[in-house]
Amino acid sequence: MVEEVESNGLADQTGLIASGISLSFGGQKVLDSVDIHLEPGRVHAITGENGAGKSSLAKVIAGIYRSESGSISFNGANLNLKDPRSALTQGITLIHQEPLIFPDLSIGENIFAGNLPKRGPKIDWDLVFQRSRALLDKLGSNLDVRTSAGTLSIADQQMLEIAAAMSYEAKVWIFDETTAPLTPTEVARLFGLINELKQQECAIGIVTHHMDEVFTISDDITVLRNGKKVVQLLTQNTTKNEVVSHMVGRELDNQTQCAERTDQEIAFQIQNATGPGFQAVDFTIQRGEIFGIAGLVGAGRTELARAIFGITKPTSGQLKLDGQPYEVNNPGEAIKAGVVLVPEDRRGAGLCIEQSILDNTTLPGLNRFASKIGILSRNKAITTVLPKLDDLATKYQSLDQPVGQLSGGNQQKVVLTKWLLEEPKLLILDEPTRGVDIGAKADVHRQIRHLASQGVAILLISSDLPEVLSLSDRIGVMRKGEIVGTLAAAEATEALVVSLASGGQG
Amino acid sequence: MRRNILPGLLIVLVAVIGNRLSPNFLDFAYLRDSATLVAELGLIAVGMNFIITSGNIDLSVGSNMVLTACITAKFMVGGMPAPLALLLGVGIGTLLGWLNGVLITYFRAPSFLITVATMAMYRGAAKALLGPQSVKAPSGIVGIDTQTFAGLTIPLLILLVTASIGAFVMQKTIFGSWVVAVGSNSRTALYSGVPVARVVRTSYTLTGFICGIAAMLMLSRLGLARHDLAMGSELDIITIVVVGGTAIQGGAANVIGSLLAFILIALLRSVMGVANFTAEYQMTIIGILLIGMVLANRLPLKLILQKLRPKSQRAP
Amino acid sequence: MKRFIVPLLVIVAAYALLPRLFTADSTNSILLWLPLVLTVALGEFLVVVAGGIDISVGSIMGFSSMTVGIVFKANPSMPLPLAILVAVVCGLILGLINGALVARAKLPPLIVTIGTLATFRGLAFLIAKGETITGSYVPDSFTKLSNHGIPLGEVTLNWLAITSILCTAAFLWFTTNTALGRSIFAFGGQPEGALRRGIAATRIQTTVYALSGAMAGLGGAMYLSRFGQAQPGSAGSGFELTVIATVAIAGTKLTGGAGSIGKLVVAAIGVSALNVALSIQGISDDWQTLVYGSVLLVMVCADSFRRRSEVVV
Repeated sequence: MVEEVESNGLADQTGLIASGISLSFGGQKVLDSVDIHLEPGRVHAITGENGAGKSSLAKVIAGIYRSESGSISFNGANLNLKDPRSALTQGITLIHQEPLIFPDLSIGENIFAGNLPKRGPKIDWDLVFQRSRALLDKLGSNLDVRTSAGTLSIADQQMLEIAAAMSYEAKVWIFDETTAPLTPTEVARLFGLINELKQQECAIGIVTHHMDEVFTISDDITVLRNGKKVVQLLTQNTTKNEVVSHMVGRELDNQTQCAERTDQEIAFQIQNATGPGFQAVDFTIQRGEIFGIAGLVGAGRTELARAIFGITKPTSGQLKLDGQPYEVNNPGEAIKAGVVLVPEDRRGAGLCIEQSILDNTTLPGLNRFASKIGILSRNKAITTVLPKLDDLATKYQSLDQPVGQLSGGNQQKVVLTKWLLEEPKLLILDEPTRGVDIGAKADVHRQIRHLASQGVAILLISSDLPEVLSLSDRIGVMRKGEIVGTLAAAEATEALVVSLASGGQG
Repeated sequence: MRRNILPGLLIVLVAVIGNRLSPNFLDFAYLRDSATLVAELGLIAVGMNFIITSGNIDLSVGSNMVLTACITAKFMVGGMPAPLALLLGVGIGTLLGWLNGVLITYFRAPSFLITVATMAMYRGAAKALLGPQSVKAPSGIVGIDTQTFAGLTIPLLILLVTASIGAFVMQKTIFGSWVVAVGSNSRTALYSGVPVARVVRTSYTLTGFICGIAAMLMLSRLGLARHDLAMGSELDIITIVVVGGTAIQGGAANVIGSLLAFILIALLRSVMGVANFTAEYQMTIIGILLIGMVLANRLPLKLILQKLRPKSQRAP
Repeated sequence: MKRFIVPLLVIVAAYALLPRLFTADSTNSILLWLPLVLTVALGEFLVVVAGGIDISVGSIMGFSSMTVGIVFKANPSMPLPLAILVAVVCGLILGLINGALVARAKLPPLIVTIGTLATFRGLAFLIAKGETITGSYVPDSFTKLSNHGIPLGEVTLNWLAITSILCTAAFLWFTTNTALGRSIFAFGGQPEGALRRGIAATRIQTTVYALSGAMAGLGGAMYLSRFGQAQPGSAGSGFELTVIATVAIAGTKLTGGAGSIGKLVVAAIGVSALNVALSIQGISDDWQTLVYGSVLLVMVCADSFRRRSEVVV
């Protein structure tokens, strides 16, 4: 049923052909002799689990990383991509997952930074603003090109990067997980743009691990696993399950059954709370209950989590933990009270990346491993940490190994271990499985259920709808800082959640 | 351990050069006395270890020491009993260090900018206080550098004790772990319940306290205070910390390495003294050493060592 | 409108407190300081905009003033433009050393320039061989650059001031009209984003440290012209503080990415006037470091306080 396309499309000379691409970091092979052919007028999905090498491949093609071997050619001509500039001037552009703008420069200059048009020796500022106006018009935006870019939303920032790429009249476009920060409307607009580029005979690559996107927009699919190309498929001839099994390299058993639970006493209660980024939030979580919060990026979910954890402060409302008033000024007090947070930004806020597993896991509760006068006992720490790490099936070489050397999934297990040692009453999880491969994801899910069964109240924030739906006992949907609806697990469906989250229905 | 090899080799090299220049160079008493001359710098480097490991820097330490010494000397001349004045001096140093910490954490300002400013302010205040004159310390407190105990001078003993305590605190206590975590990733530290601002403030206050002690030692050693003493000493202190193997970007400390680096600097200073280098040439050599060491740390030494290591130990 | 309020208030306050500051004599004194402050601050400004710091400028000034002095000693009839060129090239070379260490070796700018501050000062001693450049070595025509020029009534716009104004114009043009100049702002504001747009960090950093060195080199020549003598230990020593204070007073974003050369000129005038005001008031040199340090501290705190809300923890 599945037709395999010739893995090396060198016979066809148009478009961008990368062959034999290899890359390693610190002796670790990230890409191993990968071939890919981006044909003009076609959208090529590059997919795979986290750590499969998708983004690295994109960055090699965009000249950000240099391949150790192999070659890249465009329309038959060999390219020497030694830096991003040489890729850009060859018409190759990469749209990143997180746009980075220049906050102090004007919107027009943001679009043309690095590519400012000149008249004689001077920059032609009139042309800069005129052309950026035209580009934004094309993208359907009415931003003022002369104002500073400092306060733009993520979607607008991304638009500036797309406009910048258009200014180079790029012929090869690679979108690296570009939809992550966007709302459904913005995603639709982006896909419209991709289709338009396709009409203009651009060669397009999209890096994604969302099967929905792969099947909505792509013509070809290349699956990577552990830095190697596994297979190239024609989208019309394959299925989601087939692609996923190539990604994982094994069949998945979907264990999503939800244990029936009986009502228990209330562990956490938030009443009519308003704070930075959220208003009039009201809900309760029972002991052993998983309360999911769904919503779009920017709906105020993370802000709510941060306020409960004491990073910001609610301006009004009442919070109660185990029936007692709960009011904290900083994370230290929250942790002491029994509230912990697994943050969204794992590398930036969850871990000290170059410190050891032991140092990371013991950081919040150092006093537990110290004598009365504050002297730490390494043995005490090791004997406490080891069993917890094993509970989560964490893979590591030694407790003194820097966490940066672990995979995303094992890093997240280290963060979880850190909090399990605190024996929390309320565990807040913000995107707990983002960037975590499928195997580790199952481990994390199992642990979340296990904790709930032990009576921990869990607040689960996730953009991964199947995850929220399969784990939660109840789901609160947030939109524009408010909880617009609370659904019981039995009645919640993806469609219902999405319509509440995006305000689709009254 | 590996981090201590380079300073160790440099010590041997400098000692060999010193021995060639002067046959009496490797005499214990001579070396001890020349190390005593820079003991204050080694002492402050212990505190600087905490500041740099927490991801910050303090350029004002030399100025702090000088201002503290000047004020204390003034008080002594004004008739304050010496023990009280010495205590007060340590207090002033602590206060000046604490002020740095407060300014940095309250305004969330880059530490090098705040301490560039206080470096000028503290020294400027000393200059405004004394003008071009020097103030003599009462004879009662002079000469601590010549008294010995167990073969070492008092300043060197104080340095040894301080460095040992510093190393212990850094490696074995909650506060030390906090300092490392803050320097490694202050956001993660905050999210793990570490009182980040307090850790930074405490590091500066601690360093201020050590500056206060160093100021009293300097006053006793020189018998006077003047605004232009210890010019450029922050260069020596930062060099000691960096040569000792503490990461300049924070998150990895090596206090014992700093002690080794102190010995290197002390030897180097004394060799240069024997070779009749002027103060400026000495400063130049230290400057080159500083850049050379950060450069050496930046070289792909790690990769080279990784290749030399047996396969089983390599990163996956 | 709003941006004129603070300087205006400062001027009014200064006039109320110290009317003597506004006489022709004082203006001439200010014009003696201005070229030095402004010229060196221009280079430092670019470094700060690019997200770096250069505290070796004082030592570069010292080295270049010694070099020019030595060249004059060997060849008293050397044409003045050549002497100035020597100074600029000296500074440029030292600046390139800073640039290479920051841009190529990727070392922290603060540590690099603390190290070169010491090293370059030592170089000044090395080339001086223990001598000082006394007035007798410096041709009168060279010292006249600092007090002769275009007369405007009682005020003389001296040649050094004219040079610094020309430099300012060149920097203004460079930063508004050239791709490289704009890249410095882009890079300082968002280095990673700049890389994505093909703006190479190495080029930006090498450029700003080289220019900072060149301007400090020129500043060294101005020092020799203004003071008529130079000593290896004191020429330009501590001037980095004045210059960094000027850049901070100009409201330059101290973390990089934004700043205005117009405001830098105003700040340089302010700092020069402060120098003159202190001496009119009879406040001795002893207080100057304290005043500079305090002004710098206030500016750093104000700058950080304004941006404090931007810091998302």
